[in-house]
Amino acid sequence: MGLKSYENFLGSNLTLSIVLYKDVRNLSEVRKLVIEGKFEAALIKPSVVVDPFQVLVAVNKAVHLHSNNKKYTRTLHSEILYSLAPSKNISDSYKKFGVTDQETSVLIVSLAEESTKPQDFLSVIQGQQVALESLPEFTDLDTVKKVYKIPDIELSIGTVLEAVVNRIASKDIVSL
Amino acid sequence: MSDLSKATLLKQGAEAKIYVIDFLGKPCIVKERFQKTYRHPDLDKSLTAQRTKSEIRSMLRCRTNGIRTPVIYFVDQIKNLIYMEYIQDSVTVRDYVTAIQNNPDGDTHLLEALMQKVGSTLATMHEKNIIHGDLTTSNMLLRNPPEELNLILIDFGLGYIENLAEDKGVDLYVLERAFLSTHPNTEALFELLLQSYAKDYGKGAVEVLRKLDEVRQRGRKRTMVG
Repeated sequence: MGLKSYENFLGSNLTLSIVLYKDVRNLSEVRKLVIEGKFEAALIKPSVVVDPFQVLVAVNKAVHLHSNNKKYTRTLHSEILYSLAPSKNISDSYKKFGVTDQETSVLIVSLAEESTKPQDFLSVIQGQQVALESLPEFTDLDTVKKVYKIPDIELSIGTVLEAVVNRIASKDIVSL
Repeated sequence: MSDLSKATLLKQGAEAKIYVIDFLGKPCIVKERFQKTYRHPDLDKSLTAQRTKSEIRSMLRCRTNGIRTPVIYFVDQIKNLIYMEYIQDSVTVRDYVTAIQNNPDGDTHLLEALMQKVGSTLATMHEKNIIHGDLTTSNMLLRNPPEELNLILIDFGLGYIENLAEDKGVDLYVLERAFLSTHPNTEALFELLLQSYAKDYGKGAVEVLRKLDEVRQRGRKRTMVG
């Protein structure tokens, strides 16, 4: 239902899946599975995401660095979290963009070969899947503006999404 | 990333090739700085990498200061490719000015308003120490309808950050030359642009305009003697 997949993402043999959950009761269990490496996924706080395109831009960057062996972090999925953040501080990026045990909603992003379907993983989650289109209801714009350091004047000529994407794409070159 | 050999080539300049692609569902242009065979490979590599970075820096600084530039989607620092928003549904300032000038009923107030807008935008840009490097009326777009004066600056390929009146003066000089040669009999209009620039720039403008005068006398390049 709420699962959106992109097969052969960027011409690779990987399928990108994005799915949004709310009212999750066992996030600590889910996090533990990911941290232990039983499931490969990035667990993102929906409150700091304004649009799926923001995630796509970060994934694109992570895949690029991964395939050129230039990753800053250990795994492809941790790289997605790091790419999403405007900061060059890795643990700070995880803290601001990764979910914590206390939260109840989560945006799950997973890149996998087609043979490994994310269904097994999703069956563990005790919560309600929601359509990706309702993502804006979860976004906390004030936090987004603060985390990405977006001044009001920038929003007079462009959208929050544009400001966010600009920063994700250029963080290795420009630090704000 | 996607294979550029299959992409549509939109333009080829002296510095780069511009392709049009679809980037994750958005119209996108890819700017490829190709290798210059006349340069030593090491020098070429470092120059290209530097210019890519400068371009990104200038564009981002513009946006954070309220000047519209294309959104950057992705930078491939290995192949020196910049993926950015393809701005459609717009006209170049060049075409807009020409159209008004060629129209016997053309409204000169539109041109005056445009000159003021460009002047104040460049004032902000220079105040924030952004040098465009190649200011022409083709590198300025107006989102449709153009009367609303939603100005977008493009092609920061020669852009950089610098706080020197000299460089800002040269930036204006390049625009003046391009402007007057593209649009005949526009000296008065360009003067309007400079007035609006001076007004919005404030204190620093005097020095920049003095430099502009100096550059007009001697040309863009500084003399190597004395």
